[in-house]
Amino acid sequence: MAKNGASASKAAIGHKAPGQVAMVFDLNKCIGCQTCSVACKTLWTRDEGTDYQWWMTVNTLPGKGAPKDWEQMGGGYREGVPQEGTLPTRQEFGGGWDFNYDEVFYQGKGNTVHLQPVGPKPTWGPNWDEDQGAGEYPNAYYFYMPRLCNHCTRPSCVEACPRGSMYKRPEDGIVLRDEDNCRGLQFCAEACPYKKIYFNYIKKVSQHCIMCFPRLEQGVAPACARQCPGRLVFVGHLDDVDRPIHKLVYDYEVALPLHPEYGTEANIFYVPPMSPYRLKEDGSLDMETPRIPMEYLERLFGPRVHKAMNTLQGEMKKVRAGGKSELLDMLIVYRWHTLFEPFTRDPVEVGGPQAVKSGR
Amino acid sequence: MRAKKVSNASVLLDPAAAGWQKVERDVIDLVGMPVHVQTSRYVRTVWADKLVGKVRAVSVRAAHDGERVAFLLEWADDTQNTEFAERMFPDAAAVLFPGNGAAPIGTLGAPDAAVNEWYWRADLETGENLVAHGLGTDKPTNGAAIDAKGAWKDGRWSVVLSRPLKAKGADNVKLTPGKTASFGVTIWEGSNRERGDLRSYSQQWHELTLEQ
Repeated sequence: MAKNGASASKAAIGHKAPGQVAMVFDLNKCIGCQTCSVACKTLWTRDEGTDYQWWMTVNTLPGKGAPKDWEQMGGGYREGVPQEGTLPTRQEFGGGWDFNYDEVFYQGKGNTVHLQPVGPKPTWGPNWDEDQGAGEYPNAYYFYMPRLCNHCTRPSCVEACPRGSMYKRPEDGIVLRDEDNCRGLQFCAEACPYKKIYFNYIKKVSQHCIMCFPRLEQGVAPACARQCPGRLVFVGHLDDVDRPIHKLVYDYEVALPLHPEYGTEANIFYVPPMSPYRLKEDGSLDMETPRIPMEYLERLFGPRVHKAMNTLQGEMKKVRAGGKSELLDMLIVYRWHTLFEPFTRDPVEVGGPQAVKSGR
Repeated sequence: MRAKKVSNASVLLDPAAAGWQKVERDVIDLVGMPVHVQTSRYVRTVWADKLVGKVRAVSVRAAHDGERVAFLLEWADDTQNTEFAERMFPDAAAVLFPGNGAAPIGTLGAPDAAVNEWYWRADLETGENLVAHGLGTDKPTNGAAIDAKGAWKDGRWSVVLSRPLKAKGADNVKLTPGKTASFGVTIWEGSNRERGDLRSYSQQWHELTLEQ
């Protein structure tokens, strides 16, 4: 599979793969519960060497995220030219914390000792700056941003690997790595502008989100999406014109890639967060100025965010006036299956999450 | 240079073995692998103005006992890098041998001409036996195990790479007492983030005659 994928992938880079699998996260529904992060963690990154790896993380914005200050780490492209990137350290990702499980659970100290990290005191983590946010009371603001590999159409990681160990699967555009051919050079992690590539310090290879491809191959949605209690994650084929992903990205243009200026054409999209109203000094509602500054959203999602917000607000206005909105119905998700079609099979049908992981 | 005939090459697996002092050394000049030949556009772009190949000379000694051959590589290095950490890479070195006697060293072989690479890296317990058919293609091969041991002291690496003279498999160099073979050396300076084909290497093959 790897070899075929590697050669066939050359043609796919820079062009939307037919059947490109994409995801849309509606940030208006994300409550930062990290169920997605834990669903991914328990499925894929439990081994030693992966303890600090969180292929799926929910960052709080505004914030420095994980790895710390990743938006200042370069990578990606500017006018088609690869940009130098910084290799994130394990500490910048937050490291893998060890906890005093033995002490608390097995040494009879459950009532006297708190469960806590042992070893050097952690100074960063996957969502360290949670709820810090920005702005002044009573108009402070924050929102959550689930982040994973963007399975880009122009993946700078794939192009950066001098060994051709990475490739974009032609059938669905998922970005994968042939770990048998990876020598841990980590040019991929340097070149990735989203900083979602990790180094396995036991296997000495780089690793990243595989979009749960063994699940997708059996019609099961990725674990992060399937487990999301907020039902805010759409999964599907980008070119499937009758389904939500295509409509949200292309028809309504309310789902936008994060940092489009990175030039990699991400295939993970976000419905930007609407703001609660600001309060004026007299306590009355300020309906004119959004609480989350549009300049900030533009920095994240590019200039198209203005149109997206206008569309969302317009549709809400329409519904408030008694009208109907296909867009809002789609985002409300009356039937949860509509989130995942055609990947709606229950993991139980194929033997449970761990079985579907190994592709049986 | 000559690979000295000794009574027991196994004791020379220790870089600090006294026996090495009786083996004559040769100093080989190294150059940085040019950036324009790198296989990745990212590497070519980002490293265009950076120094590649920080280590510019290596001392080489070789000895064999009719069964096993050992190389001692020594070079100056102020920074001992023994792991992947803090945006740095482990120091590494390799002795290279051309397959078919004709593989180009500057491109680490070619599709039809293999280079056998006896590889040491500071974070690994043992050596690796690699074969390459061009830049960016080196990968483990079978038929021979490479023993490797490195020691860093007072700003200097001493690394022994060793293998039985006989080895199965077409990828593995054949070394015979009384015969002359070609070899080269390549070194990666981890503090300079050298890895892959960002490294220094001997620009030509050097001759190695195994004493009878």
